[in-house]
Amino acid sequence: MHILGEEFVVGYRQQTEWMWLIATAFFLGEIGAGVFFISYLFGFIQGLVVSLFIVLIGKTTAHLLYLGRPERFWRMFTNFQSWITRGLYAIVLFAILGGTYTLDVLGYITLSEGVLYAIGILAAILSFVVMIYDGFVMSYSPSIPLWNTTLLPVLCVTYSLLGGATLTLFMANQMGSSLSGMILLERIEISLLILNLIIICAYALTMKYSTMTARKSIDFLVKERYSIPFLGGVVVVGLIITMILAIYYTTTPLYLILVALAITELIGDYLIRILLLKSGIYAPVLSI
Amino acid sequence: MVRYGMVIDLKRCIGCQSCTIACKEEHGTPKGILYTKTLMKEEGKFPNIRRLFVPVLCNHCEEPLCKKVCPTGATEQRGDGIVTIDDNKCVGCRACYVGCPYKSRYYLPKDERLKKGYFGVLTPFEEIKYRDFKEGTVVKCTFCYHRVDQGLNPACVDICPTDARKFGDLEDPSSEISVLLSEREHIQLLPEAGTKPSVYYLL
Repeated sequence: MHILGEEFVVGYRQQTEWMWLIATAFFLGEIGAGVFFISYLFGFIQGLVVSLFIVLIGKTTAHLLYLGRPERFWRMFTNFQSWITRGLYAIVLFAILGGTYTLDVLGYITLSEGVLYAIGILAAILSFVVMIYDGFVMSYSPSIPLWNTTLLPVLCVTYSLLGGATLTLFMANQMGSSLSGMILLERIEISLLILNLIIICAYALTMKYSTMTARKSIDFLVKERYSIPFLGGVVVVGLIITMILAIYYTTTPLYLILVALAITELIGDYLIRILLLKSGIYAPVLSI
Repeated sequence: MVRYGMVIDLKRCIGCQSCTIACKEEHGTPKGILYTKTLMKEEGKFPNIRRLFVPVLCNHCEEPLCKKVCPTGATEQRGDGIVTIDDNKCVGCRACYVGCPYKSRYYLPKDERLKKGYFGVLTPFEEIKYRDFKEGTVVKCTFCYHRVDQGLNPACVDICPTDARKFGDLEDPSSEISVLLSEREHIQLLPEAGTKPSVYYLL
């Protein structure tokens, strides 16, 4: 059965409302939160600053541009039953606590050591919520079977951490920072690439054997309309080539390799989000 | 407590789209927005072919997913089960649109359709009806609550020439729709979504 548009026929229909702007918002939010989390772990101050800008300016702008009535955005704080509202609260708290922590480590304010430690931990936890909530927003409703799985929030987190590790590695090198634990970060990067490859395969296999609609979505990704960007962009460029570059970088730490590594990883990181949105398919309303 | 529902007899529906037109006339929906429509399904191979017509609309679910995902509380459920959208609260995030398994919702984008209507210039009818629509918000079938509150049936029910659509109180065992549901084999659309739709289809 082919995919329908607005024809008056019973059949599969593609999700068309959440596209580029939502993918961009998810990408920036998750990458930004990932950078904060990794930078917090490694004590990379510049990373904390950049991550806050990515989340607060990048993600927020993309979301506001998407809204039909952006002037009423404050109303989105009112229904805590919705994952969008929960995510919004997480972003605000993340901004407040992450901002406070960053201002202290930059020396603009002075907090006691205990308070700073607690705020840092809370900000890191909130960055984790920012990474995962997009996955819950998508997986909550069973309308699109491809998204209706607990693997999706997991995928969001692992891709956020991967993007975060990549950008932190790149920024630390770019800014000439003497980041302690650089070798550990390189190893984390490679581990996350392997982990993401495993999760992508597990996700595709799980959904292929779940429902007919989810299988149709997976066919979209691996055989039909989006097979080139998915297999070529997400898997080959985003994971495999990035992994080769990351391994090569550990032995030959050339700046050019790091640039290529960051570019290939971010391409895959963005593509997975837009492709998951584009390959969302609704089940036919009638199966008899 | 009243809980309104609709029963659609698939054996009676002839796919004439009268309900589609009556709904458009009742609500004056802009171009591209159909609160109800009749889908067609063909099955089998020649010469053994069966054609089925399936009228679809908002299912006014007992447990509406659209209400749960709405971050602003714009999607509300009345005491009689009718699911409505408060366009003064809607921010146009389209979470409800994406989250509805039946794709029964429409987004009214910021384009020319409310300014130019169907013919390039708004007709007097469109001028009046389009006052009810706000750009940048989501709209959907209301079960014609403005008619129901006056004791009338939804427009799609009254217009149906084959009497395929019935409207009434699902909680009242003596209502016509409750009797039909107790006597005839019936289904709901996508019951696996767990939304408990208030629209039933008689087989």
